[in-house]
Amino acid sequence: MAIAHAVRQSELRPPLRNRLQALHGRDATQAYLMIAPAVLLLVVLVAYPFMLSLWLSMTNKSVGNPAEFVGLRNFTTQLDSQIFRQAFRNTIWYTAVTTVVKLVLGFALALLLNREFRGRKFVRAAMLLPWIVPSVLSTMAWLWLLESNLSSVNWALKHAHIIRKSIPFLTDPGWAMASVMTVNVWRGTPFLGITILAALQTIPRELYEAAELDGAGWLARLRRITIPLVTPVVSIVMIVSIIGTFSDIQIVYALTGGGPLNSTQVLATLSLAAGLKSGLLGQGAAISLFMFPVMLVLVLLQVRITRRRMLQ
Amino acid sequence: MATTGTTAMVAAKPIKGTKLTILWQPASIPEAEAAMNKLMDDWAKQSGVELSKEVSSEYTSRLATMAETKQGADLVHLGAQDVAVNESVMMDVGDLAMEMGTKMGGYYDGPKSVAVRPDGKWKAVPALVYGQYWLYRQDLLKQAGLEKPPETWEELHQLGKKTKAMDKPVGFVLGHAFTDGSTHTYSLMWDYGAKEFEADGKTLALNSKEMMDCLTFFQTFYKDSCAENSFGWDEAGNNNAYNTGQIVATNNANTIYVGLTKNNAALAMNSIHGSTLKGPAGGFQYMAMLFWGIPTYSKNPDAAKAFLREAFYTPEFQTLFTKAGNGYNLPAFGLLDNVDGAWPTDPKLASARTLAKTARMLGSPGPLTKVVGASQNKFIIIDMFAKVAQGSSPKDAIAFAVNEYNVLLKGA
Repeated sequence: MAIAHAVRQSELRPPLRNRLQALHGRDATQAYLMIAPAVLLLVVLVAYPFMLSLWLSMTNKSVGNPAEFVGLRNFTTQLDSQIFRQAFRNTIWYTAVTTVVKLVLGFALALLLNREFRGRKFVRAAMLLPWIVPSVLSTMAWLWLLESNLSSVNWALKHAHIIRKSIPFLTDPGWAMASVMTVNVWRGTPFLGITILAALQTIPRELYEAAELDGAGWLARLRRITIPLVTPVVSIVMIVSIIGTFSDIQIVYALTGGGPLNSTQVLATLSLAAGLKSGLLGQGAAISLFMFPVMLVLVLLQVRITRRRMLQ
Repeated sequence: MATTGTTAMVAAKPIKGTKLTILWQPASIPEAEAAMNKLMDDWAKQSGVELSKEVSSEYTSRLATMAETKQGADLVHLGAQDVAVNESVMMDVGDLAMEMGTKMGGYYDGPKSVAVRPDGKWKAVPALVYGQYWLYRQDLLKQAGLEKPPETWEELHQLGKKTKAMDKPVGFVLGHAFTDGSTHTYSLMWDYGAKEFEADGKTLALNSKEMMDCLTFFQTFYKDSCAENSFGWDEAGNNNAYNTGQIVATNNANTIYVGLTKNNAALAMNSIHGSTLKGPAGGFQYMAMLFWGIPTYSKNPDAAKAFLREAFYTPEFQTLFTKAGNGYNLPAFGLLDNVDGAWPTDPKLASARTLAKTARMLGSPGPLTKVVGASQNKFIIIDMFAKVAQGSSPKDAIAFAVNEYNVLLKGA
């Protein structure tokens, strides 16, 4: 009886392979449907603009006029420009220095905020202010602090008898770049700090307790537990930070306009000047795309490091 | 004041049932802005046209979007560079421009050189010129032994020598300040007979004896007479320096002086405007300008022309508008030269009446092309002067500028 029932059941059921295929098909369809909005958004907001700018960069497109294909001319002519070469170097330097400083400060900030102390919640919330305030607004405040004639920082330093002559924050090429970097670090550090803090809080306390029992000191715990466990998060945050800094336009535009003598000119501000302001859209697109290979390499490198760490 | 009562204009012919959208740049002077607003409203009421007024904080981007999509406003304000960038999507308005020019006493050379494109077509109608003034501290002039402001660059050099010794140098803008930086550098360049291009607008003319002479003079002038923190000045840098008593003189819109009359009467009393400075080749100044353009995609060009003809370009409105501007916005034509009622009553703004005649635009004596505009956006001329101020030889600074212009020419 039981055998007959089992045979009947097996006759009724489709073969296992078919059932799996049906299941898979249904799931796959569902999966595609679920990711479709995201893909659509990516195509419309990322892929299309990117392909369009790639096309524009290889044309002589200017506002209101038809585009003619010019190959790589827009790229090769830029290489002859002293301003472009300086902007390219500045962009790399600006991104490299600020990213490293933001990482170090962000990490230190996260370690401090991960401790118990009175008013910790308030400090955590206050720490985010530089990141929350619109960057043009906060950069204008920095402009008043560092302005060539009326710098309140200089005023305070002079009245404290720390300096006798004003520091040329926005006047001297070296100081101008340092000022722009400072504002970027001031603005970007909270983002790294709060993200690393979130990663720190996912590390089980037991690991630290076990390490302490084994006699590991603060530095050893940091090197052996904290850093390895927050690295995946840090890697992703770094990618976001590098991309944001590489394409940053607001701070430079509002603080120095790329001056003095192009000492703070970056590719984003140069692209704006050549492309949109001058109506030479092809040239503007080419300047902005010079950033792409560098960013692609950095992102691929970061992804690779992250994967390797995660596998370990 | 100027905005009360009925706007003076010729009677508008009724063209009911049509719509007109105007994209305009409100004036920085509230009274002038109110006068323009009232003009548009009154004209719409008289003509029966349904008029929409649009403004944009991202003006250049807005124009570019309109040009690419071939849709948008029917009548637009254009800055000088906007005329060059958008010329392919602007109607030839030669008939209207010449008619208005004749009616308004003839356009000044500066604005006319922008409106008439290299192919001879009028792609814009000159609307106004933004005055740029040399402003001086009277007490320092006296201490330097001068009874009146300098009239030449060399006199300014000598003045600055004396006042820099008193820690009150000349404020010559060398930062990436679009208007004020251009006003100082291009003006000095033209006054020495130097130029970016020949009159054809294509032949590069930077490397010349005149440019060498200009930069050689500037190197000495800067060292002897100028504020040495002006590399970092933005548009407000020279305003702040003057307002806080750090400099003897600078070139700016009249906003420094007008602001002082409200906030620091003593310094306002102690200030005086001078005339456009002269060099070996004459006295010219870079001044920002505004134009009207009718896009090729305008759905109602007739109404756009009617507004300009019947409302904006009328002696009555221009008198009222210029008066409201108090020397900030100046007419682009000569009709009001002898109309006392159009000009500021403050004797310290008396030079407003003749200022626009000395206005020149980038590319002069050639046209303002896209390449010329791009060179201003990249601050090439300002940086050429800044390099000299920082100690580069004039020859090296010229070579830098020539190379950058060549890059722009190759890419255009």
